[in-house]
Amino acid sequence: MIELCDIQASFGQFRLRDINLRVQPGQYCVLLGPPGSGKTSIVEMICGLRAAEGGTIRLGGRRADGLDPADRHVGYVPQDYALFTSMSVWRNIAFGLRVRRLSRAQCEQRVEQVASRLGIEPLLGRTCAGLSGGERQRVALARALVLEPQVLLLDEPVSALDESTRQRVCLELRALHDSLGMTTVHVSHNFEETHSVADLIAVLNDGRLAQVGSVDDVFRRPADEFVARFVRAGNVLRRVSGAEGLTAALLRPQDATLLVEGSAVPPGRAALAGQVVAVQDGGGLQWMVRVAVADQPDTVAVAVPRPIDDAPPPFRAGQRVIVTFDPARLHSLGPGDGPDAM
Amino acid sequence: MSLPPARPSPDVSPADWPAPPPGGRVAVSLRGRLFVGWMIALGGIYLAIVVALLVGGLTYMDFSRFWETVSSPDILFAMRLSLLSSLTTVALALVIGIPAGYVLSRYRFPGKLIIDTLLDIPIVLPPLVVGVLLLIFFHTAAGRWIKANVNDPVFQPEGVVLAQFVVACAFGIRMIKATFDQIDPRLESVARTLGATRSQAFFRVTLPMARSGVLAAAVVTWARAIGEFGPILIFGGTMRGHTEVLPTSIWLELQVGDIQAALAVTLLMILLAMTTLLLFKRFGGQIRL
Repeated sequence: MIELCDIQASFGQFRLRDINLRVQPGQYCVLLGPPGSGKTSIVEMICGLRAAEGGTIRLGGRRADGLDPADRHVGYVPQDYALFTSMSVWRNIAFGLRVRRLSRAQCEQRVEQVASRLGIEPLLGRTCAGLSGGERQRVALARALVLEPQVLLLDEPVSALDESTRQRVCLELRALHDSLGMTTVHVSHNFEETHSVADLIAVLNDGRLAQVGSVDDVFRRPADEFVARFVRAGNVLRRVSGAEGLTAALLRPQDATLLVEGSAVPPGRAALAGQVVAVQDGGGLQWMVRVAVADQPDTVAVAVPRPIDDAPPPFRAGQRVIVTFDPARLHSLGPGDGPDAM
Repeated sequence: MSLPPARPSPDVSPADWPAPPPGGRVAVSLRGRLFVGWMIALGGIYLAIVVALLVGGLTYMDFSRFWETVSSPDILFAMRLSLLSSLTTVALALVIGIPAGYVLSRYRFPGKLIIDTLLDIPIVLPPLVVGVLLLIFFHTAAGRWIKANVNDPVFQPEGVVLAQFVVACAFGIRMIKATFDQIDPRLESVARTLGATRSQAFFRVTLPMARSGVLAAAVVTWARAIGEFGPILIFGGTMRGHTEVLPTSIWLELQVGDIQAALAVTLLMILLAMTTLLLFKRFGGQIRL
């Protein structure tokens, strides 16, 4: 288990405040947030490479604050993999074993085992120069896993890979996590890549945890405007008439309907007049129609069902329309950063 | 997707630049040749000066005097002391310079800027002044205590080493610091998460990666040490068979007007320097730190 209790830290102008996070044993936690939000700083504090100014860190129930990185039994794979370029791949992986003075035979056995699991045996005799991004990642992972850590920390493990392989690698990391039964913290700035592998998501914004919860919690019930926008949960509406008392609310594209201007709005539904900006393929059997609405900072996306036959969309760019929705389907967003945030 | 332009615009990243044709050299335009030629010509000016000086010396040398001079007991002693003292200086400079360069590179502390600047003073001062300051120091109370209880280096071979070290070590520290600046400190952090202590991370990860830079620092330190003259003249003295080194031998020969002897020792120094530097460059890469 990883427990961060009321962590406070400052690094120059940047401050981490009131970080409270509990990752249960065996959970796969994704630490999500934009660049500069403090994700790497938190991971480095868990490793013991940075010190917190306040609060406590527990690993496996044991207080870890004062412990040296070497004594925390944490496997760390940094963002750029940080391979030791003066050493071969084999020596990189065996580094932690040799520091612990394991015999040559033991080192060879364990290195072979982890290299086989990650499919990098052919690389063992090579130097680190000339390895591809994916190979470097696997070597860095092997180097951490060979020590059988209780916790695995992955700092943006797929950001250096090309887009076509990122999702696959995320799934491979999850499969590895499941087979080894470790507790994993995966740092990412991309919700789309990681939501399919996470048990727990912690969203960071400017040094504060904006929300901690399951994927469902974060996506369907974002805590504030920042989280809603960051995970692209849906439309963020402001000061909606018919939904008094809400300063900002989430409206899913699937919960809204479009009517042609002049149409009667069904009773009990809120309405926003606007103009179609674009009609896009929404994936599956729907179009995504983007509507510019007065007094709303962003366009409102509405999912419009699409028939199986190839009929053209019922709306076109420039057309004046009415966006209608049931106010009860709005999800209130608490105070959080965003345009004109109150 | 269209091909990238033949002449890449600033908006096109190097990854998109057209690849060279397979199996052949890249064709170089006239403008390219002019550029390369211009760079070679400018660099070649200095090479021409060095070669001209060497050729001048070689043509002026009366080689019937060369062997007689360099095989004389005084010059042989000077050569041995030059080599011994300069190599000792290099060893001391690395022992001191590696920790000093590492601390300056890795840590922030109060007064760092002042300390960093002070360490450059021996580079900036005229070497003769360093010798004067050394002489004065050993007349202070602290200096007298060292002379009485540790070692009296004034006008001794130890003084030659000290004079060389005070000047040459500054160059070594500067180069070693620059080497450590190039090495990502996160590598040591990762090593610590793998179980290494700070010292293990340094010796097993950082220092091996700094090998080429440390070697280069050793070469520069040695070159500076063996060529040192001013501080040795003042602090070590120029006693034949005692504190005489090759640079002071040259000076002594010039003092008595024996140009040929001075030139012979000069050519000996050039030969020594070229041999040692070539050996460093050829085999230095094989040295494991």
